[in-house]
Amino acid sequence: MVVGGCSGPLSTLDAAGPAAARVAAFWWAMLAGATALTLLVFVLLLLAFVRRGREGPASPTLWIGGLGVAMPIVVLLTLVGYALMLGERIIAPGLSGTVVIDATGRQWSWEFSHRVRTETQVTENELHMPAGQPVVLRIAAVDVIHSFWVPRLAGKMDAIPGHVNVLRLQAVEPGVYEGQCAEFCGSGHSGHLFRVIVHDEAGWAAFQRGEDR
Amino acid sequence: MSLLARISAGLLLWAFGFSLLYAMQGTGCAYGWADVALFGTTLLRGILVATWLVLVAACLALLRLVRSASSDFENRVTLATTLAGAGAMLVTGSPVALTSACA
Amino acid sequence: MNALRRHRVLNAIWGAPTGWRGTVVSVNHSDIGKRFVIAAFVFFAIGGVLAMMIRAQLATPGSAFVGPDIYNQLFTMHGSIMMFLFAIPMFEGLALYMLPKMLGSRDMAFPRLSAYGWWCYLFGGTILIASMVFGVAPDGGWFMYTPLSSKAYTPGINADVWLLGITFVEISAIAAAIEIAVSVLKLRAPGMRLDRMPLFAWYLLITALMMIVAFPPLILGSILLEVERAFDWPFFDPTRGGSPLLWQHLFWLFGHPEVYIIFLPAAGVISTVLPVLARTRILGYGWIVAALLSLAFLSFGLWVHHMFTTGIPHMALGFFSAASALVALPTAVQVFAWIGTLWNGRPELKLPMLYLLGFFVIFVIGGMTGVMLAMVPFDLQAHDTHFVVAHLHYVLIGGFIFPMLAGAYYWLPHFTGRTRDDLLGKASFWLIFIGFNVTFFMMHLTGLLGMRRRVHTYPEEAGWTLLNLVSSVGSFVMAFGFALFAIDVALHLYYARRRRRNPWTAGTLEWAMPIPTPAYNIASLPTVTDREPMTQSPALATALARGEGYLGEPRDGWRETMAVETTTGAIDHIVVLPGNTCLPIVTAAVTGCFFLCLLAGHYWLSLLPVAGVVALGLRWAWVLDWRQDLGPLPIGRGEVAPIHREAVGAPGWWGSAFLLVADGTALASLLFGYAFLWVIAPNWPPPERIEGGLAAALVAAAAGLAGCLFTRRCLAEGANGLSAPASRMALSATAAQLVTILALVTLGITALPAPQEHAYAAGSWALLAYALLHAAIALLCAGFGRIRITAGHVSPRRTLDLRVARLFGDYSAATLAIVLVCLLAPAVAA
Repeated sequence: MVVGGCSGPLSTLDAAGPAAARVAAFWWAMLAGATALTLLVFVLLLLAFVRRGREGPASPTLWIGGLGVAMPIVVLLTLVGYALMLGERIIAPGLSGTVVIDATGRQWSWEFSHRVRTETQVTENELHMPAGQPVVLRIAAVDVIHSFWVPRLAGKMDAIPGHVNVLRLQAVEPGVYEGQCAEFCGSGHSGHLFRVIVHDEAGWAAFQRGEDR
Repeated sequence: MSLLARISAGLLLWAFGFSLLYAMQGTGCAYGWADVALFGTTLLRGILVATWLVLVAACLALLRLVRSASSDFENRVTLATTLAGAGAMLVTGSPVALTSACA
Repeated sequence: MNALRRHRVLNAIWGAPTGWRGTVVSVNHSDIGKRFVIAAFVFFAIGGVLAMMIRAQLATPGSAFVGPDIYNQLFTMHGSIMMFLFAIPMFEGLALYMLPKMLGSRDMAFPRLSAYGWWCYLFGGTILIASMVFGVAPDGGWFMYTPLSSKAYTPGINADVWLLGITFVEISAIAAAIEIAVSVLKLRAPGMRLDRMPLFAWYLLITALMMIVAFPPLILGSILLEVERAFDWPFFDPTRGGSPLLWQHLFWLFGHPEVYIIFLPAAGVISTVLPVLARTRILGYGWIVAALLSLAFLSFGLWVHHMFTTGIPHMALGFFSAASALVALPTAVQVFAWIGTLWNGRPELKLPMLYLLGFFVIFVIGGMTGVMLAMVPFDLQAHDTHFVVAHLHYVLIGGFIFPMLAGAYYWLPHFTGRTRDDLLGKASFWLIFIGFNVTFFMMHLTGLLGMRRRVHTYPEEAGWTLLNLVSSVGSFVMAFGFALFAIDVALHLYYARRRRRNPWTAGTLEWAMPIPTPAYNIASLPTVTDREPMTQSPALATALARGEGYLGEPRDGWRETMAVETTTGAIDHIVVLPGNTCLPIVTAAVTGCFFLCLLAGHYWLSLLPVAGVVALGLRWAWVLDWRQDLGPLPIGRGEVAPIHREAVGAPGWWGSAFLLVADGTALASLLFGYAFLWVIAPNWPPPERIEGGLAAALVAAAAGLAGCLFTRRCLAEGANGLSAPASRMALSATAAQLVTILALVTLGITALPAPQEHAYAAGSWALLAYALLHAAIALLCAGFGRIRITAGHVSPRRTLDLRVARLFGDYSAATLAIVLVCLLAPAVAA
């Protein structure tokens, strides 16, 4: 179930880009830790019923100080530290990449404006990008709040009217990836979908020349 | 009522400090303090880290002020919440040193 | 007077007439508490049916059960009903019913206010449910993000129903919060120090204080959005300097503390029930109190974790991610204190304990996924997917419903005086527990596989089909479990065997009364010297029934209870509470008319019910007849105490003070919004700023200050017995506030640009309106003081009217100064 059940065209665990891959690995690590801690709690509960108050009063220091404060602090600080570091790598690095694409969300379609050298290729509901290099997306909306999300490649970024948000996107291999609007935007929200066409070098050159692909 | 004030003091200071750091970050980014260089880092980073350290020190200083408790219960609760305030200030303020301010 | 005669006299004093007349005029906390609980359960059932419809729609891909428009109403109403009409009122009802009993008191501090809150809740909830029947239910999500909920994208009244209906219900929440806070702080049995209170009282006190600070941002946001929809003031419109993010900040500033407000009372139930069923005392009382305080404060520093994907810089996200992780600590302290208590004791697997075990299993899982979601990189993938739906149901159902069900079975014998066997109860527990896990556990995976929230259907190719079908089947099992629970409770109420008191051998005071409890709770008030009075003196109940405690001799047909000094629990004064009255229902009905006028768009007409509410409010205060000094009165055991009218820290003063805290939070939220728009919103600076107005501002400031000083002087004169000068001062204060109002209106009209022009103008007018409102309130208080002095209700001993007037006068002057500075600053800066 684990591997097979985790794949899917919109699965965050079926990563096809470095950002999604790092987050998926982080998820598996957190799952392991959470399972261990949950089992600890269940075992303690079970034992509480089995021992029936035999060995004398429980010490507040052990339970509250040790289990309630010290143990969680260690776990939480480790998690937060790692998450901040991972966040810095995903969110904040400088906007490298010569490919800049404007994504505009509206009720209920997406318009992509690919700025390549002097020309701009505009498409609807289809984002084109090259494989193996980071692409910078500038995300905005014209009416209500939407959200740009390609689960297999990276996390999501909201499209908010009046603001422009930036998202770095990178795919490892050429292919077609599914995207969806991830912020409730009215009655067409369910069908507010798009696709990402990731080209190899030749395909990307052809797209930039405006050839139909 | 003074009991309630003493047992909340550390946490109130944390709430104030947390809001201050968040407001400074937002204002600083909007007014370009991150573009001004200062000793190898930016003006914004310098101000934020300095403010954070002062706030942590203030939270720890509060430990001395809240000693004058009249009962065991008050003592214990005051110590716990003041430590919680100081710890929270340290941890929740740490992003000023660990993360990018305006991206 | 023997016990039986005492019982009859007290019952006559505290009871309400039978039939519908009694229903309308009762202000007794037990009645009102029961109504809240029953109504909350009815709303839960309605919300549950909506959930079933959601699951029916999502059971198969491409289902045609409902279309997107209906579906959007379904999930919006499911969330709104559960959060606003079920969870908060449920624990309010439990608090109103149980707190006075556990604190050894006869009633809550403001009986008419609880009744008013009840009717507001009933009427407001009815408006929301009626909107569903008429097909105009809110459909923008329970969180109502703008611009989707703005007029342009939701032209119908759906959004207005939410904004106005929820605000109407929120009045009930703020009223309850203020009342709970004052009741826990002041109305306890003598000797009950703060550290001798049942932990449940600590939990509710802290919850109430959180509510006082958390609800105003939502109320303010709702008012701003409604004004934007009705009058086009562009607070959230980015083309005119507003920002959709402002709504999100205001909403989540409320929304995050809200879930802890829901969790804490349930945790209080656990802290009460678990030690009793483990036949020991709770481990770490003081540590738990410290954990509660930490949790209360920290929970206000989490709200941006609902906004991790909005493009806010990583450092800011980091602040909130760290805080969201830290909040797990005080929660863990409580969880391990509870498990430690179980280790300490000899736990029995009775029915409430089953539900507590269910809580541990489900809530701990929910807590784990919560910490995961607090990590920003993970949240960027999981936000707005079914993973979050799974998390929130694990913590809310595990953390609220299961403990409340445990509490229900624990206190049903107290409520009814009957017991039943456990079989049906255990069956319903297993159905609910298994059904819940089958429904929601799958959703963790569904979300990670990419299924978004709030979609009415999904394609077969996505690979979510089997998971959704399993979830839907589980939901029907869970629903069946709840139905069995309802049947079990009904059987308990009507057919179970009557039984002796205290089946759990619990130590807290609610078991020191006859069961089921009479209207007056307790025939005389005990002196408390231990956290578990019943364990310390098992014969306490009979002693109190015989009148051996305080206030055992009813006098003049008064409803009396004791107020104590906050920290030490020493006797402070006698509180004489109002009796049955129809003022609460009438005032709630007039308030409802106000909201209905706004909903219908009749804005000028709505001024009529406003005037009505003001008149009724003055009447509420007027009927408290205080024309005589009484001096200290006997309270039993050879001691005396003054009555609250002649004491310093009367409940009325405390209630006003807490109301002003809520009010101040609303102003702070408005100031935050104003600053936020200046710094972050697009399309600034505004085309026009304030021009002139300095003269009007100075007049307003002077008049406001004068009003404040005159009110203070009035109190000083009144306290010295000088009625005529006090009366003149009150009149001068009233006149001064009138000048303030006129000056402020002049300032607005002559100096401020039109509010529709830009968010700057709208914000300035909002600040001006705030100052105007409070000058008007100060005017009413000063004027009322004048009439009370003239009618003889004021004496050196009886100054409560004037002290409340002083509170509002001071507050009005202080906030006026802040508002004027904010209004004039842009002119000075330019």
